[in-house]
Amino acid sequence: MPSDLSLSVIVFAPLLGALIVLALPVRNDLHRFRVRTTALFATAVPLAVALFDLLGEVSTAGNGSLPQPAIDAPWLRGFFFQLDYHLGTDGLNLLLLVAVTAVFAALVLASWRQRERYRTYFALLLVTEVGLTGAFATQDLGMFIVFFWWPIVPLALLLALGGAPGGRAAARRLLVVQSLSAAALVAGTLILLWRTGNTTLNFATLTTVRTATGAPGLIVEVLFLAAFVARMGAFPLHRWFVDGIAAASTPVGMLLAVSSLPVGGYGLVRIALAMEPNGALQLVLPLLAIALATLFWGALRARAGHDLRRIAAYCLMATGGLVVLGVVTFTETSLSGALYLCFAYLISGPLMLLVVGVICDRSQMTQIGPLSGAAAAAPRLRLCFWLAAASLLGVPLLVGFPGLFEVVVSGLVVHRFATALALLGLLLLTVAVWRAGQALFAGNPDSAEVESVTDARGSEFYAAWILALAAVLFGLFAGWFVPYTVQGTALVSARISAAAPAVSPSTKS
Amino acid sequence: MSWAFLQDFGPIGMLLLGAAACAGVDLRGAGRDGSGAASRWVALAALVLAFAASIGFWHSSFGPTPPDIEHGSLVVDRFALFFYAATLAAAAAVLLCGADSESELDPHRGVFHLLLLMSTAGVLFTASSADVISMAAGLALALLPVGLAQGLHKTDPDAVRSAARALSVSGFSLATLVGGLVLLAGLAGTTSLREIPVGLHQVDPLLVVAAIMLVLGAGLQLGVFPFLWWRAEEGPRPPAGPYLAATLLGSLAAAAALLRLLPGALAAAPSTWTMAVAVLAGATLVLAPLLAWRQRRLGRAVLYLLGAQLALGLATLPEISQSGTATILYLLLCTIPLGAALLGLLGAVSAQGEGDAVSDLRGLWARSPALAGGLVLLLLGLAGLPPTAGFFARLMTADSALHAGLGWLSWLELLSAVLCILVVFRWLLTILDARADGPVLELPGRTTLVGIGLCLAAVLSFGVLVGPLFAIASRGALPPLIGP
Repeated sequence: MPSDLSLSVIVFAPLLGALIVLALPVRNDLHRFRVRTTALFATAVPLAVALFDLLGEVSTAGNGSLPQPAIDAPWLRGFFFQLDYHLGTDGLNLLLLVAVTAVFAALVLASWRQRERYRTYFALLLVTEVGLTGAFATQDLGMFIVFFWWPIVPLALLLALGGAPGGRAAARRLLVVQSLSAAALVAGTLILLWRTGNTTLNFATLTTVRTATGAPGLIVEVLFLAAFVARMGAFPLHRWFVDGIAAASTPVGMLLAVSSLPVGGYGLVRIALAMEPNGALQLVLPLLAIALATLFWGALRARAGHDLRRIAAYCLMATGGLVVLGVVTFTETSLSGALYLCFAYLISGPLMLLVVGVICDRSQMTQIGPLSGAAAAAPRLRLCFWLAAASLLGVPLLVGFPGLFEVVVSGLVVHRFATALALLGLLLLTVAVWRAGQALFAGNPDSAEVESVTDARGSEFYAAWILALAAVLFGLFAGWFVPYTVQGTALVSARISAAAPAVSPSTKS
Repeated sequence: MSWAFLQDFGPIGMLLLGAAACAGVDLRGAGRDGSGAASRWVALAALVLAFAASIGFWHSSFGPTPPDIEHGSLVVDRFALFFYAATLAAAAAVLLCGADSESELDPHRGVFHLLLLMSTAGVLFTASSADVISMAAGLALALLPVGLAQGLHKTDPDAVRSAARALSVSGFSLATLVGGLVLLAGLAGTTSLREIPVGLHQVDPLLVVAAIMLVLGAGLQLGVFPFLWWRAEEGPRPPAGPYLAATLLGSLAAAAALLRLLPGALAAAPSTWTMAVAVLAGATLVLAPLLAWRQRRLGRAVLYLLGAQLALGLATLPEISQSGTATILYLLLCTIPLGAALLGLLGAVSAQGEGDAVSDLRGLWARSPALAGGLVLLLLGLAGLPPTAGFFARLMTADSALHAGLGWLSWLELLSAVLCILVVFRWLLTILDARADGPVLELPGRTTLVGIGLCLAAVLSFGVLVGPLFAIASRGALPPLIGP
């Protein structure tokens, strides 16, 4: 069980790091090195603490009792709703928390060669980490809303200040969509509290009290879904995500991926389903449509695309369709699968973007045609690319497999036709990824720029190494973690079953 | 006049004494260097002493028998004490944050400090009113001196015109408010705020007229629709002090009067005013950020966004409950340091001969990182992003509007929040731009720096301290708002 302090350290250590980074001078190379190492230390501390917590929790989770909140202190009282400073871990969030801290350590390494705006860049990066770790660590809907808003402006600033063509327009789009999605979350929460008469925003309490019924329940659920689908970058609210990744520098693109689908997917399970199961049950068909549209749109656009960054973005977007499918299947196993897919995405998505970004940055090109064979002589990049792709596509023994397996097995029981279609979509996605990989690693380079692409080295290699290692280890030892996630989703599934006894939670692993 | 009266109204007495002392310092030091600074410290001492007295009385009022002391047409209840503390802090912020450009007021600095203290006393009178007559007197004392103060910058040819305009607007606002008060008293057959609900047997159409006059009169001071333009288009002009005083103290006086009157005296007849208030608030919430988006000067954009923030308070008025009123008080607590620091910082920039246009501020981060950092944090607070106080204020006002049965207003508040973020983001990009063509700006002087630093700390910490601060606001909003 994490101590009270550990979760606060995980969430707020990067903020302290950001303040220190802003206070450091950047007049020469030594100063810049200090800024980088401070940022690395500020991300390594949460990672170390999170790993320690993970090992502790997983070793005790087999006792059959769900972990209790780590820290819960009153924050706001006397208003129509109550806010608590409530951080805690359970089967739903711990893996995501660990993954996000690992990715930020990798992100700092991937940004090691950042040349401009040293302090601003690393400070914004660290501030963004606070928002993401906070969103995963909190056990209070009010705090979740705070952390849901938190990274929006830092992300938009990172994107806009990168100096890439189209960066400002993409940042504006990101800002509009994510602000509106956060506003939808606030509106849904307020209506939920108002209609049900609840005052607490505690997750545990909200998943046991009565929910809004009828039209208000439906409105609440629509607002929640809009908020999380937009944050995920799922169809039809995906353009900000694709444009953002296309216009971003490599680390910022990785950051966009980290802050989108995992937070949205987690929100769908933790909030949209658990808080308002009645509404969710009424929206099965729209959700299935979103899942399939996201998967097919992403796969087809990736297949037909010419811009390498966009192809990668569409591949990642398509994975979101599988997450939504897992969510809408409503069983313990499928929900666990959806969360495990988010976890896998947190590791594989940035890894794929890192490889793609390194190739594009080295060659100063993004079009896949001229990039043919660009990385044929880069074995590390090749390995990482195929590892990320295989993980995203659910190849056994890698981190993506358990989640995909759970989603598909549950889906074949509950939504047979939709799951069959999703498998077809997955096949299309595989083709798209294969095409991109073949073009990059198996063609013949035909220009001077392409020939200059060298293999991953130094800090970027270490960043890739962290993510690749995680993709393999969490795939190989999935047996330790999956039951833990299933245990976490049991409460959500039970709540849905109570709302609709017809939906059977029988497909357990 | 009893000793108890003097004790209970000690803060107001200290302000009036301080005003007299400022006048004395100004007369004695006429023409001498340093007399302006001396009168500033005298005024600040008066404000600090009055603040300490208010806090002391606030604590004593939570003893076993909390007294709401009433002396004829004035009452010292928790609501009044809350406003005492908030107003005195706002006046101190005006003095500190506007210190850099204060020398431009020479040789009338002492007069400015005198007017500031009188206006502060006026807000305190307004907050303590238990009677329409005392409220009218309090409003006059609050609004007219700060209007006059804007004409003190005699080297600026526009200052007299500006002062004339400010005085006209203050006068019009005052006349509208007093007209509404007179109509209200006439309809109720009493001037006592406590007896007005008893006197209003039925909803008279004239009561609606009175309520609308009150809302419009206060709306002028708050800078909400349809008076969005007058304050913002005039723009914050140096020196910052008089402008800051007019903005903050005028808003506080209007807020105190509205809270005493609408959820207080007119709580029994909400149908006469809720829709008018909601429509004005809704229009402001949407229009202010849109108008701010069009601005090429940051000062104007800030004023429009401050108008949108104050409109959140207006939108919460229809929620007649302790929570609703406490939300408005918390919002005021958040807005005072934000407005003071932002306008003070812009004043400090303009005191160095630099403007607040897009071209002036482009690349400020690269040229003057500390100044730009402060500005960025304050702008984030203005956009209502977590963890600043504005975020929680927005969250609570949206919920209050929902509880008041005004769901559409809640939606508009959320839309307004998104629009405000877009406006602020645009300015953030300008400030953080890599091109740094302009001059390097110095940090403001020590006094201004302390003032802005304190306000900035308040903006950041009030979000984290939302629980304790809301608890204080809730005590200040204990019903009834018009005495026992």
